[in-house]
Amino acid sequence: MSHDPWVWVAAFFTIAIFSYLWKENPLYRFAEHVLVGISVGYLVCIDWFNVLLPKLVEPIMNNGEYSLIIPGIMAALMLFRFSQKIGWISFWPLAFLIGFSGYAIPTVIETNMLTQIQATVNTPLTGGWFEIASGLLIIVGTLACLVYFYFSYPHKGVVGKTAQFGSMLLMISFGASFGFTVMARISLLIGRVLFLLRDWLGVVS
Amino acid sequence: MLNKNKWLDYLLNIDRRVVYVIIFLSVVLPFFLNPVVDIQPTKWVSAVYDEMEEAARTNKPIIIGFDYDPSTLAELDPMAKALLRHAFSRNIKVLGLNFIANGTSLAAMTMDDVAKEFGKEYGKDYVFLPFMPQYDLVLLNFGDNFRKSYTQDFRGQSLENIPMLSNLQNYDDFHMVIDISGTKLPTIYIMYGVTRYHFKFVTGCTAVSATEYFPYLQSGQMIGLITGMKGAAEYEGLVKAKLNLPTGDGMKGMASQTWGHIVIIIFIVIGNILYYVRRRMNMESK
Repeated sequence: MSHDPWVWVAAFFTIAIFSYLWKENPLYRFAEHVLVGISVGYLVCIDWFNVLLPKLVEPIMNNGEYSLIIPGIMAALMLFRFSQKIGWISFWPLAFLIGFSGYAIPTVIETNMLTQIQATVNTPLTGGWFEIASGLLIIVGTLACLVYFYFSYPHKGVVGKTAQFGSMLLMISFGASFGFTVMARISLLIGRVLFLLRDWLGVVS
Repeated sequence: MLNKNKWLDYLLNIDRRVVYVIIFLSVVLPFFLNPVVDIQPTKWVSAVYDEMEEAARTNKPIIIGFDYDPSTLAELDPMAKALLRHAFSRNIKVLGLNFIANGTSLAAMTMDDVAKEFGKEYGKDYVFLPFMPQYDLVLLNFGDNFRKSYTQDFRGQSLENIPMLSNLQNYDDFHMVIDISGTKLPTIYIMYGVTRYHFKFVTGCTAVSATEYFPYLQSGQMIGLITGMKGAAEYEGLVKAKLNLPTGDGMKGMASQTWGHIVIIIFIVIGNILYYVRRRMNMESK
């Protein structure tokens, strides 16, 4: 069994969180509130020491980079969101941020549309039967899914059958996502169980 | 008939806590019984291993983004450790980045722990840069010179005083970039890094987000993908088989993972059969 007090603290909070599986209880709520409080406190410290101090305070105080006062004020204006009366002031820096995010549009189009379309068009139909079948499935599957989301023509006849096939492929994709989700959740449970059995109780090597 | 109905009612309305206990046992017991699970690496994980070997041959450093926090630690930390063990065992220098504030100290600790195993020195063999917001701008700046975004490392030392960084400026000076994350950050790396600067990129992601990243493999925007704890186990297996390095938590958890999945599959099958039987009985009684 561990002699490290911090391991005991972690074990206590792990069990407190797991107690929710039995039913909602004060121990769980306490652990939840502590987690939220510590996370926010930690974020504030990291932001202060890693960002605000070296990128804003020190350059202004030590190097006289007074132009940084403008973004500093813009950032401070965001805090007006907490006021119901003058919360509108926070829209100014928000407007700047939203306007500035327009520079992402060409990159998004190139990364997630053009390159993906190019990859589908250039899918190689060579190699063994498995590679050829996979390539065909990618091409036909992409087209079928696109037809499924094409609503300007009634889904009847060939279009209807193709859309149905696209819908079936989408269901398979959702199934795969669900399978991966189960895998992820089990992994998280394994992580905590391993911590309790090995790091805390020391019953597993 | 009444008896059958009673059983069906009981099974269809079984207390969820019974299900939790059975799943919990299916995860715990394998740690004591140690059943053998054979994990074969996928070609995407093997590609990452091969690329790391290539980095050792070309003697170029790599970048690893540690973009995870405690909520995904169980899946991503084994992966990060396996990659670091491989890199340090082959004397590859590592530059660590972080865009998730809650995971900053975890990443620093992981790097220090693995470096200690191989006797690596901070500043000479590995460096960890601090958390930065506006990751898109940081990644764009990295294409020119990362000093535009960073002035000091996580420990507060000026970058000018760190020997490992003296000849490094941008993506061209690194063999590849790996991002380990449970968020959308790998997509951001592809958008602002790969699309513009065309470097070799690898993602290590949680199992939940795995399906999002497969299209980037097919399009060649990513050269490798490690998914979840299973991906970590695959990588650990490769490193163990080829370099005889010890396996970690990824491989340890695989038996529990398998048993947990079997139990869930059994529950899904039984639940569906019972639901079908109930529906049929209702139709017959009408």
